[in-house]
Amino acid sequence: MKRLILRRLLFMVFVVWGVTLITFFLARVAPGDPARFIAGPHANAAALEHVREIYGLDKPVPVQYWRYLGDLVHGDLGTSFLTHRPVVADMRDFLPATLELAIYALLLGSLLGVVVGVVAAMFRGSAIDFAGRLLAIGGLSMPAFWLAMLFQLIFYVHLGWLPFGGRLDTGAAAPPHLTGLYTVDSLLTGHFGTFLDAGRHLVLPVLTLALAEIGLMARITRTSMLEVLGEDYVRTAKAKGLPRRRVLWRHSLRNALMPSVTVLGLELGLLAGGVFLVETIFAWPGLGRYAYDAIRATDYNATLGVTLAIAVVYVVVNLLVDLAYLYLDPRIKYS
Amino acid sequence: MLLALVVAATACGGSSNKASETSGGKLNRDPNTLVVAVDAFNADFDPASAYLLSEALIWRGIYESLVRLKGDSASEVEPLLADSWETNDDKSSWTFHLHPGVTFSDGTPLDAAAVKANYVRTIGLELGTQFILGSFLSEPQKQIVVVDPQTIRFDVGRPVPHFDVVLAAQYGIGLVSPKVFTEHSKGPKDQGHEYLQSHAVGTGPYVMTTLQPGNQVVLEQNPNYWRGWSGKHFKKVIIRSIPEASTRRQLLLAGDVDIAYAGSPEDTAAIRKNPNFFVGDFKNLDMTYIILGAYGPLEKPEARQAMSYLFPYEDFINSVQKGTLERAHGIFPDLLLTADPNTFLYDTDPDKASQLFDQAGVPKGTTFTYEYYTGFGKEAGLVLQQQLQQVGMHLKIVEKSFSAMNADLTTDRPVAQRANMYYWGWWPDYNDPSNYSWVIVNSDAAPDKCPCYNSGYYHNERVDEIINAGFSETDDAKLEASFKDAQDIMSRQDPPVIPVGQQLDETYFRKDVKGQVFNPLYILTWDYYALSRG
Repeated sequence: MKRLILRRLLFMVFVVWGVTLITFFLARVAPGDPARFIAGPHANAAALEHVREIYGLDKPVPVQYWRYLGDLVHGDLGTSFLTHRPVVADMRDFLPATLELAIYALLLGSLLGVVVGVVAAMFRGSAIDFAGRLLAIGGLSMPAFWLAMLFQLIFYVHLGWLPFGGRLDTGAAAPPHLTGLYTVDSLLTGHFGTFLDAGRHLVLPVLTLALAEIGLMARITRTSMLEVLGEDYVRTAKAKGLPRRRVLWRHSLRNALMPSVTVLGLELGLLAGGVFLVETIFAWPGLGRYAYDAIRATDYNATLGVTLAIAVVYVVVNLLVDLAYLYLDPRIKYS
Repeated sequence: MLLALVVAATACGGSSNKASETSGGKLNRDPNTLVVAVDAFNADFDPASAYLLSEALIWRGIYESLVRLKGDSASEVEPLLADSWETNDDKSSWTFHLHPGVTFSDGTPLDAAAVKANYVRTIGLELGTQFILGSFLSEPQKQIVVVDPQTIRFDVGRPVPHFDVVLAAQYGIGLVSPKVFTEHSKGPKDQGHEYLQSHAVGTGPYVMTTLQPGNQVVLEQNPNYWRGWSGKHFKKVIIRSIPEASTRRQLLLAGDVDIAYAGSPEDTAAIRKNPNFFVGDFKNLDMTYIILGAYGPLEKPEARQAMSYLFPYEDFINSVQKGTLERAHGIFPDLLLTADPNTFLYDTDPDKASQLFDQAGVPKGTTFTYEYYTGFGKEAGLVLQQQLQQVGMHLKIVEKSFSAMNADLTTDRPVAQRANMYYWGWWPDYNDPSNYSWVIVNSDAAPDKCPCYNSGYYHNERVDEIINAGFSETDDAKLEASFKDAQDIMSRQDPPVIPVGQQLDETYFRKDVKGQVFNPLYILTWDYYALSRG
C-alpha cells in the first residue's frame, strides 16, 4: 500500500509538470495581451513595456517558464494580473467555496445515485424501476446551466423558498476561518444562524450539480447490480437461506460498487466542468468563477494555478479511488 | 442530511423572497446598506494604473480630486478638494486653493505637497493613466509648484483653455495618501504601486473594509470625512460581482440589490415596466461605432462611404437594441465640446452603397471580415451581413474574447491578418474633442505607431492637423470651426467609422434609492455620498 501511494505521488509530480508545460505554452500562444489589459486603453508603448517588466512578460517564453517552475517549487504560483494578489492567496480564498459545493454535490449525487440504482435493480421491470431510470436519464440529459435557471425561477422567483446568489445573505458576516467551508466553520464555532444561512445558499447549486451525478451513478449501479444479482454466488447465498438484506448489502452491493467507484473518480472531472457554469450563474465566489474571470482577462498565472489545482485534486481523488478498490475487493493487487 | 435539514428549516420558518416582475418594493435587509450588483469589478486602487470602469465604480467612493464635473454637465466644473481656482491671461498657468482641514482617512493632511506628490508619481510611473495629466505636464516636478501649503499651481507652459476640466477627469486624478505610497514603496519603479492595487486610502466619504476579489467589496463611512455626515447617507455600500445578467435582474426584483448593471435589451424592457424600479436612460459620452479599416477593400473613402450607407441605423436601434442606444448624431457624441448638430448623417441606401462600391473598385462577391468581442457587437454584425448580401457581398463574423480583441485592435499586423471592421466604443477622459479623437483617428495612434485605438489605420492629414492643434487652442470659436471641418471630413468625405449610436446609461435602480445624478463622463459609476434611501 505504501509503495502504491509513493508511486502515485511520484506520478503526480510528472502530471503536474506536464500540466504546467502544456498550459503555460498554450496560454501564451492564445490570442490576447495581458499587458494591454493591465495598462488600460491609453497606455503608451513605454507604459506597456513597464507593465511587461513588472510581470516578467518582457522575457522570452522559455525563460518565463523556467522562472515559473522555479517559483512553483517554492510554492509560489505568481501574481494574478486581475486581482493583483498572489495566486496562492486567491486559491486559498476561492478553493474552499468550490470544494464545499463539490463535496456536497458528490456526496449527495453518489449516495442518492447508488440508492436509486440498487432499488431500480431490485424491482427490475416494475414502475419503481421505470421511475428510477427516468430520473437517471433526466438527470443526465438536463444541462447544468438550464437546471440552474429552472431552480432559480421555481425556488427563488416564484416560491421564494430559497436564496439565490452568493454563499451567505448580503451583508452577513462569514464565520471565523478554519477550513473555509462555511457550513463546517460555522458549526465548529457555534454560529448556527450562519450554518443555516450557508446551508440554504448551498441547496440550489448543489442540487444543480448533483442531478447529473445521480443520473450517472444510478444507471451504472443498476446495471452492475443486475449483473451481480445474476451471479452464481448470489444464487447460492439465496439458496442457503441467507436473509435478503444480507444477500443484497453484503454479497451483491459490495461487488456491484466497483464500477461506480471507478466512475466517481472520473466524475470529478465532469463536476469541475459543471462548477464553472454553476458558479457563474449562482454568483458563487469559487474557483470556477475565478477561472472564468482569469481566462477572459488572459490572466496567465491564475489560469495556470486553477488548472494545476484541478489536476492535483483529480490525481489525488483517483488515488483514493484506487485505494477504495482494495477495500471493496481484497483480491485486487497493484503490481 | 444537510439538504433535508435546510429544506425543513426553510419550510418551517424561511422567509419568502418572492421576486415576480412587479415585485421589488419589499426590503428584507438593512435599509442603511446600499447593495450594488455589477458584472465584474477589478481590484486596482492605484490611480496611477487603474483605468477600467470596473475599478472606478469602487474608488469613486474612496478617492476625490481637486474639482469635479457639476451635476449632469460634461463641461461645467465645481469645487471639491479645491475651494477655488484661477488662471492667468493666456491660460497657461492654473492655481488651485485647497479646502482647509481635509485629511486622508489615515489621518495624513491633504496639502499642496500631497497633491504634487500624487501627480508627480502618477505621471512618473507611466502605468497608463499618466496620459491624462502627462499630456500637459511633461516635467511634473518642475511644472507643479507648491505655492504654500494650501495653494498649488500648474505651470503648463502653453495655453490650455480647460485645464480645470482635465482635473475633473474620471481617471488618473484621484488623490491617495502620500504616506501610503511612501511607506509601501519598493523602489522608484513601484512607489507603492503593488500595495495600492489592493489597498485604498483617500479623502473620500467611504473606506474599504472588505475586499474579496471576484466576489464583493464593502465600503463603510469614513467617520472623519471632511464634508460630514449630516443629512441622509448610506452607512455601508456593498458592491457585488454578479456576472450573469439574469441573476442580477432576479436579485434586484427580490429586493436583494438596490442598483444593478443592465442586462439584455429584453431585461431592460421588463424592468422598465415595473413600477418599483427605474432605468437610467441617461445619454452619456460613450459612442458605439464600427471601425472601418482603411486598407484592403475599404482603403478608398468611397468604399467606407458605401459601408456607411449600408448600415440599417433606425432598424438596428429600434428593433435589435430596443431603444437602449440612441442613434448617433454625427461622428462625435453630441455632448462632446464642438459636436456639430448639423453634421452629415447617412441614410440606409443599399443602391447608393452598391454604386459607391463600384466606384471604389470593390467587386461583387467580396468577403469582408467583422470582429467583435463576446457580448458586444454580434447583432450589428448579423444585420450588416444581411445588408451586404443585398449588394452581392459577404461578411465573415469573428467572435473573440475581450482580451484577444483588445490585442487585435492595438497590435500592428499585416493587412491580411486584420479584420476589415471591428465593433467598438469610446468615450473621452474629459470633455475635449482632441482628447476624444486623437486616440481613435489620429495617424500617430495607429497600431504601427503606438498601441492605441486607431485600429483602422485611418490617415487624414487635415484631421490630424485639427486634432493636434485642438490640444492648445484657447479660442473656443476657432476650436469649434476647425472641428466642424474635421467632423465633415470624417462624416461625409473620408469616414473612419460607422457611428452606430450613443450609449444610454441603462442602470437599474430601486425607486427608493434617491440622489442619483447621472453624469455623461462619470460613466456607470455612482456618487455614493449623494445616494440615500428615501
